Amino acid sequence: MNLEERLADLGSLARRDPVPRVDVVGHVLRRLAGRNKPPSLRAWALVASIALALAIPLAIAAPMTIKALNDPLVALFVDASRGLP
Amino acid sequence: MATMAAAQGLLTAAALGRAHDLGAGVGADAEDVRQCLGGDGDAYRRIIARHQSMVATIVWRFSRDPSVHEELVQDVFVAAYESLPRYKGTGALSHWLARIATRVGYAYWKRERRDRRVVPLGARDVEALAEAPADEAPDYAEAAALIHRLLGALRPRDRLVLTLRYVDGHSVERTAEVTGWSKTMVKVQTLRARARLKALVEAAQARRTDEGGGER
Repeated sequence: MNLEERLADLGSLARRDPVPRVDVVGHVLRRLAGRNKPPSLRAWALVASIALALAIPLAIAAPMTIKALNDPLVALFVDASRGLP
Repeated sequence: MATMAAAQGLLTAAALGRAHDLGAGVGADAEDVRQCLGGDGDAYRRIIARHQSMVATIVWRFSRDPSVHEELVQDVFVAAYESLPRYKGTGALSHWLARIATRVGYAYWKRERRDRRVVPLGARDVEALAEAPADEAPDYAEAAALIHRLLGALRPRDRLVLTLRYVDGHSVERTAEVTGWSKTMVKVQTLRARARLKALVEAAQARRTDEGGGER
């Protein structure tokens, strides 16, 4: 059996295989309508998610920063740096 | 019409600029693409109606399950709608849709493979392959199902190139165009895929012979 010839024979027969008729117009339009939100809403959602992503690490770091600023050891370094030329 | 209006939401003002570039195109497709990018939802309805049978024919090579087939045809038009602002209008819309259909079908095969839904080559398939084709009243559906199962035993990449070359009957050039590979790549991939299919068929034949010997 020559595989290449057999594949070519089967392929030429397969090309005449009737394809099921489909009508997807309604389905596609419904899917598209369901997926698409108005662009302005999407833009606001993007801005909100970026702001949230920035706010979380800041919220975590803020108490530590305030504590560090009130630390006497840090105050000593700040005073010393003021005395530098 | 409310559905159509909502569907238009994806095509933003940025796409309108592209619509002017397509103005020079001729034919119903170019006009409908231009109108679609301009916000006319009915234009996409006409595009789907005009091309769905062509897309269905391409996708039928990827799945012979009627429900999966219809789902894939829908996927092609959803993907095409999302890519429409990037359609340059330099080639025929049908060629552009054919490339998307091939990509969607290929992605389906990869999912199928990943989910281990691939049926290995059976003894009956090898037997049917070895049989000489009937001269009178060939069964097209049976031949299509057989080649679908045979090529289904291969990895998606091998399966794709052999499907395009033998089932769709595409030339090397057309296969390269549809897949986005180079012509050399198509030739090399065809040779390798054929060699792998041959090895699979021979292995299945050997198993069949062993099982036959064991029964005696």
